[in-house]
Amino acid sequence: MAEDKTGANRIKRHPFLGDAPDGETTRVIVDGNEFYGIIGEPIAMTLLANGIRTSRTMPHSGAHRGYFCGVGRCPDCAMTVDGELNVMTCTTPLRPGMVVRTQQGLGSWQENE
Amino acid sequence: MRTDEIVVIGGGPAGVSAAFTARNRGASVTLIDEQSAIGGYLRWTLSVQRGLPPQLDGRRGFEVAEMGWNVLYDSGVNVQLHSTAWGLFEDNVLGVVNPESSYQLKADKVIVASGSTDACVPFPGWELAGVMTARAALIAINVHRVLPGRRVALVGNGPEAAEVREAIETAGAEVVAHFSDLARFGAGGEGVVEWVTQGGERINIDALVTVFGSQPDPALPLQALAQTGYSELSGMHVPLRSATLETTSPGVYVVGDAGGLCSTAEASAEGRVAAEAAVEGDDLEQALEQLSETRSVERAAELSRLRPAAAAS
Repeated sequence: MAEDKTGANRIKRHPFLGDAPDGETTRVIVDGNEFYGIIGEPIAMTLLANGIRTSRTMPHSGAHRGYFCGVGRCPDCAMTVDGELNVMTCTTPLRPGMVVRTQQGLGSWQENE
Repeated sequence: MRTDEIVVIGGGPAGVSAAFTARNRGASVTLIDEQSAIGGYLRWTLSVQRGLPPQLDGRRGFEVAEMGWNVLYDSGVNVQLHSTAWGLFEDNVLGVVNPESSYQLKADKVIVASGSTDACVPFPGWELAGVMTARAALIAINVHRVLPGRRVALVGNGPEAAEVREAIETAGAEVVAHFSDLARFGAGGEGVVEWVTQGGERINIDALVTVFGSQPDPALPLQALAQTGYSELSGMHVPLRSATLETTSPGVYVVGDAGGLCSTAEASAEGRVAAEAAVEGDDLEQALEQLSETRSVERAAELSRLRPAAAAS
């Protein structure tokens, strides 16, 4: 079932929200590994549903950062998406076939070539 | 340059109320919101809303958001989603950016309903991946139906902490620890958060949600150099506003949480007042009366102190 592929942290049933709608799924590549997400959801949600918590590392300390404010205010969820640096994954919708990379520091355009 | 009579920034209860009121008075209205749907914080709250119009009253937040969405679209307001108003310049010119384009938008009147942001308080481990604000957790769970983790810890107190706890447990995850304050509190892990402790014992977790309250986000009027005063109730400086919620920057109104934290009913009533004032509608007196009924004595007293000097008399 395609739904089961979209990650273990999905809420299928909810007493107030009802059953989760059947969203159209797509494959997404994260750091070379294959995952599935729901088209139109924020990229950060695809990652969180699949148990991926780190989105980027800091330029100097190398410390990890992840989904933090959820509304596009802080820079912690920024990742490299389809070669573009600093994409805010908490507000950017998932599109079919995206290639997502954990951003190392400020990222690099060269490594995408 | 694009133009419109009334431009509303933010599609929460205050902004939707303002846009709907102005549109009903015959004005041409654009509403800008950076999220994927209107509703603001109502989209991610399960709590029952009070003090709203009869058809909305007593419903849960996400239901009110959906109904408001339908009403607004039917009313003919030009709704621009995924759009961020990043600047407010002379003559009420706004800078707007969306995924496709960047443009300027000039308004006769601007009604800012930009809401609030979650407050952040640093503690050891607060920057680890897997630590997130209350709002981030509620959006993941209630809007996108994704659990932040299976074993979740909370830090913070008050009704909002109770709401987050209920949201997590209702969705099927476990709140394994709840700390009401930061005394001797810390979190740790290799890159991602793996444990919390308060003084002694470590508790293993896979997510930590911080609940430190929210604060007004009036960035646009501040950028337009509107005068401010200190709000003790909100814990920060907010724009000074006339009785009809206009700032010292002419034609710029601020409504809802952006002008000081308030209830859904008060935010909605403020939106109505500002819109009636902005379009010089006939129901301003009635709207002001409705607004005063939503305000506590404490809040009304503070707001009368936070008036521009010219309008204080």
